[in-house]
Amino acid sequence: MKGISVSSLTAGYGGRTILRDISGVLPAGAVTFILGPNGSGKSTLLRTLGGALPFRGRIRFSDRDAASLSPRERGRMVGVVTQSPSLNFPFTVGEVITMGRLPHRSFLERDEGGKKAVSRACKEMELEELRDRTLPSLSGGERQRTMIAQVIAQEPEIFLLDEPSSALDPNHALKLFRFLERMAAEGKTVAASAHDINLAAEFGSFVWIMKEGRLAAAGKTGDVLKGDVLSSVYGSTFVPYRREWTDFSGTPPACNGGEKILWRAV
Amino acid sequence: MRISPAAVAEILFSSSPEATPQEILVVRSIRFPRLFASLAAGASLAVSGAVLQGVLGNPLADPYTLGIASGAALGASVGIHLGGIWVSGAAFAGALAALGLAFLLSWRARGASSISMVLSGIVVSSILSAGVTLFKALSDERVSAIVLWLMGSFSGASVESAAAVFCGAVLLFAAAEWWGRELDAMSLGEGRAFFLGVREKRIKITLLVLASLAAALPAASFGIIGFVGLVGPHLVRLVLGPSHRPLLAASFLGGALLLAGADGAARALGELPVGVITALAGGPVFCWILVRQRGGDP
Repeated sequence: MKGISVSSLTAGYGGRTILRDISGVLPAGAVTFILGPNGSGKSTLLRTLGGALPFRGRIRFSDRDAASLSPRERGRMVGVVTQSPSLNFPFTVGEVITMGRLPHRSFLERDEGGKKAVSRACKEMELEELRDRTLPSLSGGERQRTMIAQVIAQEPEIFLLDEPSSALDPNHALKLFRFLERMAAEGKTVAASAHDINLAAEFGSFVWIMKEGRLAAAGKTGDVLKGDVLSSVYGSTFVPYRREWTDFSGTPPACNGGEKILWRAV
Repeated sequence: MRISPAAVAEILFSSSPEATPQEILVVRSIRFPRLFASLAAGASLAVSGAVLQGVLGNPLADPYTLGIASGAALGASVGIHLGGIWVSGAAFAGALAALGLAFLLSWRARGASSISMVLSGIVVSSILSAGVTLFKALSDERVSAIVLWLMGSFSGASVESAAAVFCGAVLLFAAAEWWGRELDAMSLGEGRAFFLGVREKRIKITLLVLASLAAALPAASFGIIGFVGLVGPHLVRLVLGPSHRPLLAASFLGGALLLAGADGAARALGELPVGVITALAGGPVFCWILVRQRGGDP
């Protein structure tokens, strides 16, 4: 099985258990969205998959047991986009992105392809103009793009993204999810947490829905995103609607395979 | 006594220099060890500061905010109070004990996160400072010796103690330079380094121990010399940026020159304690850096 498979995963911080008995698959070649209310364990799940938290149960990346990876192997295989970094030291955007090459370099060894990966990451997140600016001088969204670019430069097989578009403007959010779709098409595994159900409806092939540290529902987007499921997880009533294009001049812009059903809480 | 630079070089490097025995004595046994000691201590403190700031991801960290100074001070006070033997040893033990205490406290509090580490250092420092005051009050006739030691000085430095400090500095510098890129990622905080495949815990512990040793050695031999570890790396960062490989190298050189210069000034001003010079000069410089950063990076 290509991708991430998880069985009986239980994890948390210190003595506090957050994730309880989670089993499921995040398949390679697809974008999976992780949804759920605040505090349902989305971030904890992504951090645990990224190896940052001790866990019970089993995590497998394709045919490798996650626990058997060395830190360097893990760094080459899994890229994790977390929230904004510390601004205590004025690193430039270029320096931060180049750090993404860390698992590919050693003290004296040259990193073949490193320069290319870094400039590609810059281009994907439209950061060429900002390359010499320092992190503290950027806006929140620009910092978020920088941290995503670092992970793109890392060239991992598995992308784990914790609310990657929370600070992005619509243009850059769209560019990010198009990029993730392309990564999935190249066979990579992509999992992103989000609060916006319609991001999952538009860009996700699969959805995991978390509730109180458990996996409440998982499967293909169309099968999981149903009014009764969403209502039982989030509490409010959800109604479906079709997108209405305000641009009547011609054909609607291509949107990932035609008409999608979107959801709104009422 | 004035001795020309050429004569100094000849005295230092020639086996049979044409100088008076007095001149040879001054250069070989007094001035050279003192210069060597101030260079080594400056390098040691500045590199130690740069490493601690990077490892803890906190620009306010320096060997002294973590309790090293007050630990060494208390150790030395006890040593002087008990008759003035083993003062350096007692100061060294005190520095390590204070650091150990700060580590333990922050570990119990929040798993050695950067903020709890700095807070623990401050708490340990203030408790130990009270201990120093206590010993000052108890040692009537020796109180001036304690005060003098606390102010820091390179006069009477031995080549051996300078060499020990130099070795500590070089060891720390080599290790930190080796892990320079990892340090960059670690100073981003938020566990970034871990996700980039860095063995964060191992590097952190190794560098914390080496940085503590590198700062405790000069404190034990030459007393409390503040602000070099804090201001040195900050000045370098203003010019070269925060990337650790160049930062560490420049801190090593810059710290050495800074402290040797301060010691030269201390001597020229009539044997003032060098710790007073560094604090008097370093404090305003640090203020300037703070204000500049606020203004420069919106």
